[in-house]
Amino acid sequence: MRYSIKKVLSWFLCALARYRLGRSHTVVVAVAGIVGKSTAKRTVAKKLKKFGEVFVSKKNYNTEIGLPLTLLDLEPPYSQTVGEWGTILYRAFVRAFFSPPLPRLAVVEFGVAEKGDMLQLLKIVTPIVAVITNISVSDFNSQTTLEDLSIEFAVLAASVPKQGLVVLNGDNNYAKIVKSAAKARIITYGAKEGNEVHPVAPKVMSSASDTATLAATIISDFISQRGTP
Amino acid sequence: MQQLAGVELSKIKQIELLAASRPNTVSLAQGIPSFDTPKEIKKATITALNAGRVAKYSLAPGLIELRELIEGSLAEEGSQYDAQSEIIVTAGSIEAISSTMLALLEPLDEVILFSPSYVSYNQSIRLAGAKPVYVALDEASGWQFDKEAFLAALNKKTKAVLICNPNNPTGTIFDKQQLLAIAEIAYDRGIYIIMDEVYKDFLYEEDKTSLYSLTQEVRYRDLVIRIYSFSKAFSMTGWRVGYLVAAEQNARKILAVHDALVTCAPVISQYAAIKALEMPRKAWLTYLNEYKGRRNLMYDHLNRISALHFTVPSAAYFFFPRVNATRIRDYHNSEMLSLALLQVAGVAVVPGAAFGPSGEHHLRLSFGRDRTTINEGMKRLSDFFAAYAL
Repeated sequence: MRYSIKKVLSWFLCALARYRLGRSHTVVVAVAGIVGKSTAKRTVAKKLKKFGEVFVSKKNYNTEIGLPLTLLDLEPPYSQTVGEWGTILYRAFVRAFFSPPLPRLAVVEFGVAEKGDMLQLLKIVTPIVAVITNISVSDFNSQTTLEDLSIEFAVLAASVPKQGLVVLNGDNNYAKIVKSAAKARIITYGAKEGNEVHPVAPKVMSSASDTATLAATIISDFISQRGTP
Repeated sequence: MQQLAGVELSKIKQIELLAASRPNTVSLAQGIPSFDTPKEIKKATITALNAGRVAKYSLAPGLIELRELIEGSLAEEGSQYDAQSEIIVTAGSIEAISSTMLALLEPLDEVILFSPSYVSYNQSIRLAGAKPVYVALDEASGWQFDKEAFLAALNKKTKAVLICNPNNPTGTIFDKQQLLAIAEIAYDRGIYIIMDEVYKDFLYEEDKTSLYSLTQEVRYRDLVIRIYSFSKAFSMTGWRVGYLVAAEQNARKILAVHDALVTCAPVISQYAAIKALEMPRKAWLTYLNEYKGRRNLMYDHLNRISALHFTVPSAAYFFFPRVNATRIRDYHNSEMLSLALLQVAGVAVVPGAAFGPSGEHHLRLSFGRDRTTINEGMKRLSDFFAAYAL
C-alpha cells in the first residue's frame, strides 16, 4: 500500500476507533513487548473477566491499521483490493457511530516494529494500564535495534496517566529505560532480585504463560482496588 | 550406518520418479494440490522479501510473530500452548515428524503405525533406529480403529503411536471417542501420541467443520505432539513450512534436533505462513468446495469401474479403492498393478501396499489434481480395467 494512502486510511480508522472507544467509556489495558504479547493479552483478559465483559483485540491486529479495525469489530481485508477496502471503510463508519458500545474493559495488543510505531498506536488508544512483556531478540532480520524498541516501550510507559499502572517484566535488560519514563505507578515482575513481584516457585521464568499469569494477577488487583469502571 | 539400512525412498516418490521419466504420463499419485499458492500469500511474502526481512535465519523455533499467531489459533479451538517454548515452526511436516522421532526415540524402540497410513512415517521411524509396528484398521467397518488389535501390539518397547488424522490414504477420521480410547491406553503406559493433522482442514461432511484434537485435553499434554503443515490447505508444498506443538520438555528435545537438521524453517516461507493463517474461512471454503467437486468427479469415474470397490472419503483428498482380483486378468499385487498402469495406461497411482500391510490390494488415487487431469487419468484407468477385465 502506498505510504500516503496508508496514512489517510490510518487517520480515518484511528478517528473512528477513538470515537467508539470514547462513547463506550472503555478502560484500556495495552499489552506490548517483543515476545509474549499474545499470551499475556489472553491471560490478562481471562483474569479480568471476573469484573464483567472484556473486549480482547483479535489475532495479531496490533498495528496502526489492525488495531483500529479490531476495535471496530472488523478485520483487515485479506486480498487488500480497493473494493474490499471500500466495504471495510463503510462498515467502520457504521460501527463507530451505530454499533453497541464496547465493554467497559478492553485488553489490546500493541505491536511495534520500528521507531515511531508506538506514537501512532497511542493516537488510537490511551491506556490506563500498560503491560510490557519480554524485550528480547525475536528477529535477526529486523533493521530496528532492541534499544530503539525499548525507547518505543518507554513512550508507552510515559503515556499512562498518573492514576494508571505500568506493569513491566523487570527481568528485561532494557527495563531501566522503560522504568525511567513512567510517571504512573510501576510494578515490575520477574525472577530476578529487585522485582516487586516474583513467581511463587523459585525458578527462572522461561515461558510466556508464567510471566503472563504474574502480570494478569497484578492488573486484576489494580482493577479491583480502582473499582470496576 | 546400520540404522539407515531400512530407510528407502518412499513408494510415492519412486512412482513419481518413474512417471517423470515417461512422457505423457498423467499422475494421480502424489498428494499435491493443483492450485497455485494464493496471490495474497505471495504478495505478503514479496513485501517481506523487499523489506529485507528474510535474508537471515530466524530463531530456531521460528518467527515469534508466526508462533504467536499459531498459539492464538490453537487457543481458539481450546488448545493452550506457549508460543515461546512449546511451538516450533518446521520445514514441513515430515521434518517435524523426523525431528520428533530422532528426539524422543531410542534405537530398538517400537512405534505403532495404523495400517494403512502415510508412507513416509515408516522411513522417519527407521531413521531414528526404531521399529514401526503396524496395527490394522478395520476395513469392513470403514477403516475404523480396532482397540483389541491396538492393545495386542503394545509391549515394553512401545514408545509412541503415530496417528494420521484425517488418515492418508483412507480419507477417514479418528473421532473423539476413538482418540480418547487411544490416549487413555497411551497415558497408562506412558506412550507418546504423535498426531499428524496435515489434512485437518479437508473435511467434507456438512456436520463436521472442525477436527477434534487431543491437544485440547490437559491430561495428555505431556504425551501429545501435534504436527501440521501449510502445504495442503494453502497449496504451499514447495514452501516447506509447517509446525509442531508439544509440552515444553518434549519441545526442548525436539528443538535441539530441528536445529541440528535445518537450523530454522525457511524464513521467507514463515512470512508466507503468517499470511496463510490470516486466510478467512470464506476463502478456504471456495477451495474446499472445489475439492468436494473433484471428489464427486472421481466418484463418478470410479463407480463405472467394477474391478474397484471403494468407500467415499469424508476427509483429505484420496480415494483408496480395493482391487477385486476376480474381475481382472493377471493380477498379482498392488505394486505390480501400479507399474502396469504406469507402463500400459500411462497413469501413475500409488500401490496400497506402500501404506502398510492392510493397504495391499488397494490403490491410492489423488483428487488434489485439477479436473482435466482427473478426467484423463480416470479415463486411462477405466480403459485399462476394461481391457484387462475377466
